[in-house]
Amino acid sequence: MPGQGETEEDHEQQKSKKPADTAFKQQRLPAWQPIITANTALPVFLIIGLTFIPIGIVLVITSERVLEHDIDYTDTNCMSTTAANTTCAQALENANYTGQTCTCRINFALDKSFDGDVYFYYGLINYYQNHRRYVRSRDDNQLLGKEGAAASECQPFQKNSTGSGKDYAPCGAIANSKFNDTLSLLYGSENVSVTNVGIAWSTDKAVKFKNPDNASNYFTSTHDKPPNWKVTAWELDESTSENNGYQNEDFIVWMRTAAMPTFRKLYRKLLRNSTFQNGLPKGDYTLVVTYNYPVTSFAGRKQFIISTTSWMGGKNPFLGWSYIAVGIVCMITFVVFFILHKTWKINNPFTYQMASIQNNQRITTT
Amino acid sequence: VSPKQKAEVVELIKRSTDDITLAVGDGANDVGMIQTAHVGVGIMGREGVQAACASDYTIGQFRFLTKLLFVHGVWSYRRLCKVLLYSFYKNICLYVMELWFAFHNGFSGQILFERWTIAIYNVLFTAAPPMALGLLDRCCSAETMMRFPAMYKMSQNRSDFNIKVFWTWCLNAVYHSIILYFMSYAMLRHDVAYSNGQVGDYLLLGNMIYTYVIFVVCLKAGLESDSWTFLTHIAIWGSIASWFLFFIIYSNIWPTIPLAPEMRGMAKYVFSSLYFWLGLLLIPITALLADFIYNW
Repeated sequence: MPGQGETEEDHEQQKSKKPADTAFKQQRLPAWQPIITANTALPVFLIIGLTFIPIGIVLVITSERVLEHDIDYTDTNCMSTTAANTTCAQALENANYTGQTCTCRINFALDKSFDGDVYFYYGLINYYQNHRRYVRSRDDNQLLGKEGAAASECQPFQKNSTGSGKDYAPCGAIANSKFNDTLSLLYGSENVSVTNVGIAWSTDKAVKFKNPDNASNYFTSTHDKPPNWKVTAWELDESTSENNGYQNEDFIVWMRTAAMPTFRKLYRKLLRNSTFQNGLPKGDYTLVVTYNYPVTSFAGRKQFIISTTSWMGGKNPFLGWSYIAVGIVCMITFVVFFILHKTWKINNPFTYQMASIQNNQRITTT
Repeated sequence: VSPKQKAEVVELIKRSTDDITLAVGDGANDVGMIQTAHVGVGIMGREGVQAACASDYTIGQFRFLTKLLFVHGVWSYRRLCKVLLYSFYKNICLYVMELWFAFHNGFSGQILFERWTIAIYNVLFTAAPPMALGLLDRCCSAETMMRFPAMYKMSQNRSDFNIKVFWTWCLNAVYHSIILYFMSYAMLRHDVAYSNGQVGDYLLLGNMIYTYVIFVVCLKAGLESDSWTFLTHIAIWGSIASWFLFFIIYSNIWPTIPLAPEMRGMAKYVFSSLYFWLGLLLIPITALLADFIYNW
């Protein structure tokens, strides 16, 4: 701001051009001028160290308490029950995945009981749901049940151009690649009771996904099912109409595109009744897989994941260890600088006094 | 001495040295000299206004020249340098993260953040801190600057903006972006961020990181600020608050307003995740720890 002084006042009392003498305009605003000294910085490091390390320990312990069991069923684990010496992956490739299904049974044991709520996920590896062309390939207006043509972003899964010419419902690559394996658990010979309610985001289910009017007609006659689907959207859960069509929770969960190429999605939640009142008991289990979803062509892998949760979430000790690490770094910094500060003060009493005086008067020299 | 000769003297100095020249004058015969010099200062007064009209800076009396140089000159230099460096820093910090994300999305060009939040980053959420730095920051009071004219040297030797300083700030920005991205990535790698077992999507990660970036970038402005006026406080805390406000509103407009379907429900799910809050305590502090030590 250039300084402006008074104009010469004529004897004709001209209006003064002098700018207002306020603190803001004259750059005199009161200010806190923080100079980081040892007295202010050292306590900061100490406090950070003393709070972060306990937090970290709590978080690590919490994560260690979460129990998780992963089963990779992509190829060799999942042997077809019908064709001899073939994995389901091979069976799917041979049949060109049209119409044929493959089932397999995988036996495993839980050596600890999973107490409390237990969640079942399917995990995919090397699957890029975060690819740009994939992420944009959806039509959110269609998913609201609105009338109108499917959006062009859905191409090449917009409409059945080689066949009937009808739009796909739902359109787009995300919808078309919906995960369609079925996974169920047997405890000995007993079915493990699960529910598929409450697996999707509540806002998605309530607001973003709505079936159109006259849904049955919409999904079966006026629109086609996506090319890779075996059934139409109206057959996703025929027993529960709120979970059918676009409002199917498995579908909604799938449409939330994952951030990383290794991800998991919530599949089912344990229904805690009779045998499973307290969770999954220790013992022998069998995973029954209807293997529909081909991943071997792009070196992808599939997993079935059983996990409990903590008050925070799943099993991930990273945050806990980070807190501990940063806390330790702060404590080390504190100790090092504390020693330096004290020894410098001892070795240079005069300079230290001068520096204190200077700090108090807030004079800086170049 | 004629006007032309005055101008030629300035020209001579300009040509034979590397120095920046300043010419001050009050009459019409000084106009040539004022215009030839790098910085022209005109004195508006008894001799008329021609010199003032031709100049870069106008003062009312000759004695104000000292204040112009020693106070406003130094302040302006330091402020300008800070604003420049900070503007590069805050943009590099945010946008380089798209590069780190590219390593994880097959280099497909998918953005981690929602497109309008990216666009409004410079316009709304990080606009106020550089303004506070550029308009209000001062290392010392005006009285101190006048009492110790030797401080003027600070603005003459390229100390605040040169190649080394510039690249240091750029590297600092990259360092912050690495910490912000990779710590958040590791924090959410297993996806399950809720006690009810649900998982999120790429925007959940993106919005968490974006919030951390706003914190880091605004607090960095505070760290670089030599003087915190109440307007500086408003600029920094207000920017952070404006992001929270925008985020909450933006997460609730679809489908009432046909915009941003992918953001629907985001605020609720970000704020209800304990991972977010724990990360908020840890990750910005981790990023700024080195800067804090360096400033100390």
